Amino acid sequence: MEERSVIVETRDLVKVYGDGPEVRALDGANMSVHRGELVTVMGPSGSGKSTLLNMIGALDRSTSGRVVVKGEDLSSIRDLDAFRAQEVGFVFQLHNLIPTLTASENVEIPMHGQVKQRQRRKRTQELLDLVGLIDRAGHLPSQLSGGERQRVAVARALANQPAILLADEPTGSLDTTAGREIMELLQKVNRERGMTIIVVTHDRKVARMTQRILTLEDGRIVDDHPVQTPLVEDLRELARSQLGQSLLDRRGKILKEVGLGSDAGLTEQGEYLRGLLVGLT
Amino acid sequence: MILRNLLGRKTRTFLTLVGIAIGVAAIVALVAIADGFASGYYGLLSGSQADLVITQAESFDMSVSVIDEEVGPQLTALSGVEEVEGVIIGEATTEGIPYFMVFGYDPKGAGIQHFRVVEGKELTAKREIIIGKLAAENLKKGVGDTLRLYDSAYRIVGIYETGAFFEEGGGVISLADAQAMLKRPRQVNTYTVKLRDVDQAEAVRQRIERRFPDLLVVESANFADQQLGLQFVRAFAWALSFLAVVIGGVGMMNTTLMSVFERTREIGVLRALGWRKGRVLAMILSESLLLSLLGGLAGVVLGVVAVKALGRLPAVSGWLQGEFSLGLFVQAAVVTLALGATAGLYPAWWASRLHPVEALRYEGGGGEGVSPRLPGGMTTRSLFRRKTRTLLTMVGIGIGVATVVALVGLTDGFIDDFTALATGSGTDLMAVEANISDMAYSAIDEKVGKRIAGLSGVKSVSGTVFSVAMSEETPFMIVFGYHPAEYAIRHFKIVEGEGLSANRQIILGHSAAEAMEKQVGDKVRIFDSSFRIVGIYETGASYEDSGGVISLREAQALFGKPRQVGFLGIKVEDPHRVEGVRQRIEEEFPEITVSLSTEFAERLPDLQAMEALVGGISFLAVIVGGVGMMNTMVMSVFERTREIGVLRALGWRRSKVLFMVVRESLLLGVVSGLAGVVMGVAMGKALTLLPFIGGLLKPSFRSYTFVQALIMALALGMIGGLYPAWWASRLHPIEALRYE
Repeated sequence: MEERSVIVETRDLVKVYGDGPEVRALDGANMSVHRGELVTVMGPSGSGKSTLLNMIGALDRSTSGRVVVKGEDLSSIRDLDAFRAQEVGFVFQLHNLIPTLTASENVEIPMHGQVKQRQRRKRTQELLDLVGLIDRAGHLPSQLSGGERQRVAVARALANQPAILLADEPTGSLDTTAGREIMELLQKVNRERGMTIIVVTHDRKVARMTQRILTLEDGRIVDDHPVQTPLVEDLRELARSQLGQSLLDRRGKILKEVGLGSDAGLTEQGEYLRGLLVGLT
Repeated sequence: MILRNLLGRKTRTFLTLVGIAIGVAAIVALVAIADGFASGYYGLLSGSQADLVITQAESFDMSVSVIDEEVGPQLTALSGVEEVEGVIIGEATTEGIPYFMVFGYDPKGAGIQHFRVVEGKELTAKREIIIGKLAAENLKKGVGDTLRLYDSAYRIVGIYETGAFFEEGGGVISLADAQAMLKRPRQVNTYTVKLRDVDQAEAVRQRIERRFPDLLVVESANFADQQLGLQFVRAFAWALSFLAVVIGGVGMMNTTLMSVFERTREIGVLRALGWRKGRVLAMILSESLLLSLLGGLAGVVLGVVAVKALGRLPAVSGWLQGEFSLGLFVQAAVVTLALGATAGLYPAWWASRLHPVEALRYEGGGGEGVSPRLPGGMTTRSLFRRKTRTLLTMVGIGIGVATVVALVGLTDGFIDDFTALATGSGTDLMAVEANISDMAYSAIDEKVGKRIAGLSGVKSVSGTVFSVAMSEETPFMIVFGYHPAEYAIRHFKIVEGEGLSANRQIILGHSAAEAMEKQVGDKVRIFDSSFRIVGIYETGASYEDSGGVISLREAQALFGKPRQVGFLGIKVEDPHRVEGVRQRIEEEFPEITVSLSTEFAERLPDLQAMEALVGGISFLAVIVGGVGMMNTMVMSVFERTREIGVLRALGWRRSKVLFMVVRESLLLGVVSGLAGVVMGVAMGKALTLLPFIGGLLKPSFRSYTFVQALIMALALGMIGGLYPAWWASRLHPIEALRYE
């Protein structure tokens, strides 16, 4: 991988919620994302994915630890509103478009007070063109399909040419096809614009369409690896599953059983299993 | 479940409660005051133990009734009558109290006995006064002090109790003093009659009325009901409370509707789980009824507190004491429940008709039905998103603004009319009696007019009297008395027939002639005298055009103001020096107030009362309207919590969110205000279509009235928008995004 500068970095990030029984949503999360990367943060629900994204997106301040975006420590920034408007683009699980505004007006929202009117128009056109909705510019969200709404949301997130784009379960409320299309759109944005994108999801298929997968468990990053061939990813997935674990645990026994087999068909299956077990380890 | 639903939206429920409470409080307070007024009237003469009360027929109110003292002995002579006593009842302005009731009784008569002196001594001599307990408190005076009424000083010799607050808030002087002070020589307002046999009351009543057709005889128990003025007060109280209730009701319907819309999906679940339509209907109706009941209770408490507080103000406590009867509370309860049922019915029906499948699919107020072609972006479209709610809010606020616009229009029309009346006759200065609380009481001795005419710089002086005549033929007609030969009568331009030339003649305004369907040559009865119509005139001032003119002498006799006039019109030699002349006249005659004709109307005491009234109504409208507005904006902001979260996440500042909400609220205010202005103008115009009364009302809408109305609407928008805007701007983006 070519040498690229770090654009997002968290160090020992801790976030504690609640006045009563406290909840440690993040418990010393360390991660870094390079400029132009498309990465996924995965993890079971309640693992702190959204909290991590909110910290990076300057929606909330951490309890302790540091978040550095574009070389700036977020805790030293006083005007988080302006920071969000200029440096961060958000895509939510539900499109969260303003229902009374048209597609193009929704795209314009973040540019209010940041970009001059004439430029706003021009940029909105460009962005809607990028997401392939130029002919739907005057439609209200209720007149668009779920996938189209999410595309508008992507265009809106890009409105102020942010440094990073954060997508929280962007495919969560879409069907498989529309979900894949959104991920393809994010890939395209990443490829053509060099946009740094962090996607939070619990969907492996979605994760595999990115370049690197960070796994979050109980508020810490427990795994961080680049996305490899589908076969390798399948094996990884299997290895992390209960079935894979139990297979690995009984590896010796299985190998012995397979090796002793006399049936040709079984031997062929045995060869395959052997390969799998090697791959798993 | 019902209770929990209401508690689920505390702010909205609270605001609705406040809205209903104000409405109900208005009813309770106003009706209690009207009832108190009535019982004040009853109390007035019941204490005197009279069986019958006699007033002048067709007089608007006891205080303007006039009966000649010659009638007294003739009444006494009638069979069945044991005793007759003349009483003067009037009002005076004194030391901070605009309406101080003054009673004139014969110190040796039976009537004065019911003023039980609890301190000092009884009334015996001239220039003495005994005052009520309440008056003593309000005036902070005691036995031995002096009290000025008009321009005479009276020595307080005693303090009394009677149990009737009209009496305890005023004072009693000797009949002779009262006649002199109120300029009623040899006249009384009313006669009280004691009978030999109470069972004969009806027979004696008929006997008196047959003998004196211009008198009205009423059994003292029914006396107050016969007073037109009291009926006016009651009608007015009801109209005002009706207004408050309508605005409160609209606000309530809004809340119920929103709480139903918002729970569409929940209702779908209930229906899917097998709840019948009737059960959903009952649930929502019960919610609405419970809400109105609570609001009603709070309203009753608020109303009682308001009346008690008002009754403590020295300026008004003499004649304003609320009376709370069981009937009033029943009325309030009925109104409240009716309100709850009406407001709940439509939403309940809507909810019960929901198809379970569709209800389950409901997304909660998306942008459906909002056209992207609407100009104004988010602000207008947000209002269009909830058309019913926006419309209801507009109606609520519109009614308030409309009432104010209509009333201000009528007041301005009144000013215009009186200015026209004053200037139309070509006079430069107008004089009325000083310190009167109502121009109907104005009485100036004719000699004063003659003496003013003799002053240097004064060209001519012309006096006039007027009174309101009421009969079946003319429910409300102002009759003017002018000297047929003086210049002032010339401004009644005769368009048909001829001017006044002899006694028993009248010229009628063209509106009056039309309303009464009378022509030249016909006869009209006024104060039980017959007049022949000799001409029809037009002046342009509606008070004149819907009234009539008779000769000054006859009018003075008829109205019981011999040798007196109500107003003096003064013409000066040099119009440039009119102010100097005005000051000179006032210096020389402290008993009168002189104004420039152009300013005359605005300085009338009646107008100040009217303005206070308009102020009061505007205040009520602003409060009720502001609560309704806030309710709407709170709902509108709550339901968009998540959207606000998105905006904040996208980098919108708190201040930007704040302005967004305030802008919406202001827009709603202005739109409602405009609707209100249109409704107000229509209301004002519609009133003029009423027979008789309509002719007197000539609304005049000035541009500043509209500006005022819009400012009021903007203020409402501001009041209503600030709290929700502040709430919205303080939302934490993450929590807002998570909001369901």
